[in-house]
Amino acid sequence: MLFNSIAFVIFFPVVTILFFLLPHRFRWMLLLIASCFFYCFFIPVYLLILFAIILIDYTAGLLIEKNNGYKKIWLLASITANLSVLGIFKYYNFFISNINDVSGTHFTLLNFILPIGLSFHTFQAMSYTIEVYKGKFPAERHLGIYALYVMFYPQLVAGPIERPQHMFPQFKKQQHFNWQNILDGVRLMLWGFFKKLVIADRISSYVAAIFNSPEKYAPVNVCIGIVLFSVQIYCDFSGYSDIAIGSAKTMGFNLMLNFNRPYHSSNLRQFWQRWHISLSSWFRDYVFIPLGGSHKAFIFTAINLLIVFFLSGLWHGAGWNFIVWGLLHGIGLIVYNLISGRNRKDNFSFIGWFVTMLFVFFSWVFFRANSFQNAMLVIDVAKNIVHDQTYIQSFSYQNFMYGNTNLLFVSICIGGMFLFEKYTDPLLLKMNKYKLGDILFCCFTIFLILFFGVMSNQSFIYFQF
Amino acid sequence: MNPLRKILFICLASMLLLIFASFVFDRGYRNFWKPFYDKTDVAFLGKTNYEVLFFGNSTVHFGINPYYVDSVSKLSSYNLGIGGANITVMNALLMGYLENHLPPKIIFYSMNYSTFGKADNSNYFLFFDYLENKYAATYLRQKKVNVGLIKVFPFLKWSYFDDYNRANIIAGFAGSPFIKNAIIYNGFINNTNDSIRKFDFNTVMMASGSQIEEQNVALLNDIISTCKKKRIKLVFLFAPEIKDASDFTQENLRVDSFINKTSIVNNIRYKRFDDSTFFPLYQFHDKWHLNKSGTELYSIMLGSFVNEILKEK
Repeated sequence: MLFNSIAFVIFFPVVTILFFLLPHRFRWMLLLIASCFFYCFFIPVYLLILFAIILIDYTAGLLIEKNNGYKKIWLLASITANLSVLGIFKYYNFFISNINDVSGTHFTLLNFILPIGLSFHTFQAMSYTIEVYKGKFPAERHLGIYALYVMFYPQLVAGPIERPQHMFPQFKKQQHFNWQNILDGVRLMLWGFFKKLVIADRISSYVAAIFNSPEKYAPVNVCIGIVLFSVQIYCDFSGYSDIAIGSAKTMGFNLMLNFNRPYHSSNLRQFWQRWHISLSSWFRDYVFIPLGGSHKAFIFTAINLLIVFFLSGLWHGAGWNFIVWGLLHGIGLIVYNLISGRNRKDNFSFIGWFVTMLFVFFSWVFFRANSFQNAMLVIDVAKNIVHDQTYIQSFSYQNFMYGNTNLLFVSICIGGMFLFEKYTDPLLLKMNKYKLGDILFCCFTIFLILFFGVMSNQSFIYFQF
Repeated sequence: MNPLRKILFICLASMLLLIFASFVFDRGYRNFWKPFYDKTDVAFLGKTNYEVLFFGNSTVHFGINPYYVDSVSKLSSYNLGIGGANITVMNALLMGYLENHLPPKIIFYSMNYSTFGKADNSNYFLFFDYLENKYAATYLRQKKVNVGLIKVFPFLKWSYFDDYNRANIIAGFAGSPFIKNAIIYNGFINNTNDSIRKFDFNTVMMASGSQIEEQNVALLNDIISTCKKKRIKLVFLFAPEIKDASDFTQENLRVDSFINKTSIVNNIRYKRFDDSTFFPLYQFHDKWHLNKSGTELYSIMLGSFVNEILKEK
């Protein structure tokens, strides 16, 4: 089920009301059934994959805790099972087609549709077994609660990727109905819907046209397309996270923060502390630190960074463009570490911000492109902007329309969004301080969503991962 | 402030804001599309009965002036053609009209390559104001509009609009309507450079969506049986166009052959004007649309044609 669908508009209040009507001991059941129902809107049969992952990791958790002598084996077995599922559905075709290309073989490719959000729930499941292995969290005995940890509908398909120590206590604690939670949750959801429906989905047609055939457009169009994609992916993904965190909040659950104004960062390190925080911290805790982190010589830190960002690129998608995107960020961070040395300041600097954004926007080309060749073509056209004398093609100056997108309206919305986010906190809790301001903010956001939202049920970009 | 009270305030204030904004938006949008709304108002709400009605796409909308038809036939006619319309729109308008009017004497259905295709390039947003009419509602349902929801919360209709139409609201307020300085009469709007895009002879259109769709054939059969039931004379037209300049020669031939067969089977008059020698090049505004003198001539010819039909037993 998409958050931006009529089905969710009915589903969300019904589940929330039932949640508070039911006694605490039955709530996990309601949430689990609701989560299955939520997932069934995509490809129902893939629920079986989720159940398999749940059963494997639940059993592995218990065995790791029980068998001190073999706990490493059980951990490896659990990780192997998770990565195998990921490997078959997500990476098999990529590796086989590369082997076929290089060696001229004709191994058969599989004809699967990638289960939605597979990378998210396998990573969340893996974090459970790793934490149990480390002894930081006891294995969960209640299969239903464990299944809910993997399947909790707000974060089921696109995160945030949660940790067991954060979620299990919340599932077990009785949540009481609280109007403040409802207000905080719904406000954040409204903000998420605004970013998704009013900005991201409005921009998407422009961006798709540019990236599908960049050679048809003037360099200035392509550059605008790159900038707009950078905004689109932020609004799409952070919008999803806001809706997820907000919908969980209404029931009293606190999900971890996933975005903290990443485009206000003055350097790349800061950017990665603020962008997709749940994934960055997952890689930090379970890959970077076990590899030695940054406590060894610079060269080892650099290698560790490259490994982490290579894996991060691969996590996002089975394609060379994603790997290049990941490696670019790895190299960018190594260069930043070299330049900044130990004197790392997090104060805002305009030049730092400008260079960081230039780099981040450039690297998004590889992320968005349909292939590595497509990315190079986009860059090839965009680089001519310096010598380009043409105006924006197909742009109606009379009413600011580009195709079906009103660029003036989009620009005002984007400017307003960044300005608003600059002066508030990521969960919008500061708004509680204001009476009239809060009411006006919510009313105006509702107005913008309903009157200017693009209601075409477009999927979220990160669902594909 | 107590959060519950805040939520109640937000709900109340949002509702008021949405209703007020919708009211204001309506004014701007109606200003912009006024000549089009006049036409849909006549079809779905009007009480005046007309004796002759014309349906079709822009070749009717900008090509048949009821003033000349009426002068020749001494009847009252109305142009219900809408730019970009295919048969789904034509049927919605006709059935909507028949719901609350006396049946006319003659109905002209002007058809060409686009009539039976999937593509409906007309402005369907105009129909949101007539949800009480079951045909307007059905037409919107085909466009995947949640009619029930909009009946309860009329302001939700704005969520279906695209940016172009939203920008029209501002243009409507700024006194810059869709068509400036146009001559408007009983649904007819004359061709100006503002009113329709000028398709010059070098413009090549893609022939997408110009197949004869089965469900659209069924719609034509519905109209034929409705007209028979209500004893309305139905006449098929093929509007004038510059033959050699058409990008849809094959599609037009296919549609022509289909209309021809249908007219023979159902004993319906079918008049072609696309192969007429009456319309030389200088009477065209562009390759599909007549200019002022072409429109006058075509409308007078249709007036005479009306007389001819009425003389028949």
